Amino acid sequence: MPDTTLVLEQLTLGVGDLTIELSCQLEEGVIGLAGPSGAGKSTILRLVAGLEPGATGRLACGDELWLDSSSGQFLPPEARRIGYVPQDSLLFPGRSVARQLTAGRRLLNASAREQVIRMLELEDLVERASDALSGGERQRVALARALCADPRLLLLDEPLSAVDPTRRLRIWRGLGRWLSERGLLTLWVSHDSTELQACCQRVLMLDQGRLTADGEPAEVLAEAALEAGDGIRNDLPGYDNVFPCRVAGDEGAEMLLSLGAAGPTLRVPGRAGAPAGQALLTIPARSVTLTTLAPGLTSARNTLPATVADVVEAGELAMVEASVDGLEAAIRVEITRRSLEELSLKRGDTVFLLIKSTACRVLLASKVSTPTPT
Amino acid sequence: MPDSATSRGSPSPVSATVLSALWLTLKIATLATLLAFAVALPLARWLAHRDGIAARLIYISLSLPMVLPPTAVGFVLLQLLAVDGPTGTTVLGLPASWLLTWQAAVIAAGVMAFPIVLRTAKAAFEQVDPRLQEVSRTLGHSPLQTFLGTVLPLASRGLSAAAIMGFTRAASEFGATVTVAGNIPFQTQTLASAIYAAQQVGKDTDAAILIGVALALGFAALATAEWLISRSQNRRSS
Repeated sequence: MPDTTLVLEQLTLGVGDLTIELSCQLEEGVIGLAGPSGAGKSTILRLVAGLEPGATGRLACGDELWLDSSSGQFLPPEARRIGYVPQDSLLFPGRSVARQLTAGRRLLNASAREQVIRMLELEDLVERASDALSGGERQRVALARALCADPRLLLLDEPLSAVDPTRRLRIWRGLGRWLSERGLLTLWVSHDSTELQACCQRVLMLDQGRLTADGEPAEVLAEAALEAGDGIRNDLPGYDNVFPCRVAGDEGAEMLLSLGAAGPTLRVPGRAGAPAGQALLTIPARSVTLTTLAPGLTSARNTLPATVADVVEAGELAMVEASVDGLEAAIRVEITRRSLEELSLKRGDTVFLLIKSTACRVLLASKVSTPTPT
Repeated sequence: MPDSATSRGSPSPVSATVLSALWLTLKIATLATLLAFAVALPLARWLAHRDGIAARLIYISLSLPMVLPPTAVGFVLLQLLAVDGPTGTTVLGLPASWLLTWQAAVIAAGVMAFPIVLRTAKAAFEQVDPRLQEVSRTLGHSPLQTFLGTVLPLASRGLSAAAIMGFTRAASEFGATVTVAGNIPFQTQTLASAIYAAQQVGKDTDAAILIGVALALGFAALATAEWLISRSQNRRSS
């Protein structure tokens, strides 16, 4: 397998008010690019694709030099052998799906193309006109088109954002296998932390054109979540509740985590090992059960008394913010509107939170330094 | 030559004039459109999606024949194509003068049709999302392959319209053409100049016939344009 290590050295590009400045080495696997809108994620993909000829610095892929502004070297996009899926899919108008899939100058053989079609669940769409496809279908076709062009580097800009969740889950699995079997280096821009964790082995966090974090997806995302939400939480799925905590020790197969100096201690699976220390705990809002009566014995390993601080309704769902003694921030609990009505929850009500230990994620993040529990 | 009484089977002078003018009009307009297209297409492609001052100035300059009096364009062409002019036969080493030939009419009609072809073709290229060209490049296609395989097919509707508009402009051209090619029956006389000649000498019936033919030609051209557009729309929606 040819070396496709991507080396970016002082890669710089000014786009409007944004200046991209990036130096890093990307060896293998699926690498996520995350960060707020306008951080430069899509521009970095374009830059690697060769669609930003104004860039300066040095960019190499394996033995090939793609850009070296000091010597004036620039390899055009068509010579880079990349698969690029732009944010808007950009299918060629007036062409059938079958023609989209064979639009590449290089093509996978017919059986590999069939595999791509099955993997992206396009069997029923192949003969259709691409102009009549829905947003999610267009995205799948655009991804298939890029894969069928037999690239050695894949650049994906939110490639599945409009695909329905169930299908997206299946595609993540299939695509993950496909990419790993071929050792295809992939840069994947996404705003979906679940997607980044499911599909990527490494995440680069960007802000204002610069790299702010680089590492294992869960750690990088938790750190970003912590910073984004005044140190406590944000709106990323799965990161509704992020708490800095201290690993206090373990009991059997469970770790004990202290949340804040006077906060509760939670049990999660695993062993603290040595040295025990600072960590982050994520509790998905939808994995917390809420009762108005003190529960008896339950399978949930953590039961916390709390007070309803706020209830925010959104469609068929409601987010209950429950204050727990010793915790500065409330724990967010997602319930259905029907549950809300049946429980007749209002501010000040006493409730009990049942937190499944297996739903919690502990990130023993070496990079995590703030905020420190006191 | 008798005016109206002619022997059975031979064409009347009017019909011979009309047929000759029609033929010359079709020939001159077709060649002029091709000439205008050949020059305008690469320029339109270059000018599309360019907003710089230089590009705008070039675009305006190239569009000038559209707003100048045709006789002014004819005068400039007359100077250029004169035997010893900058593009005259002496300079180019050609055996005969351009002037007063159907070739001169092609050049004049081509120059007059050029701005319309340029503007319509530029608009057609601007309709093609430049990001599609980028995608094509990332799929391994060179700029030329991208142009031929992606841009041209997507711009074909607008380019067809450009061709039709150019053709109708060239077919109806009079001022510049008559200045450099004259109004010589059976040699350089087109429908437009034949109508002028007929009404100058009071042959209103001849003029009416010629106008009828011009109308039919214009209708056919516009109908062809409509057909091309609807065919293209059908292809896109299928």
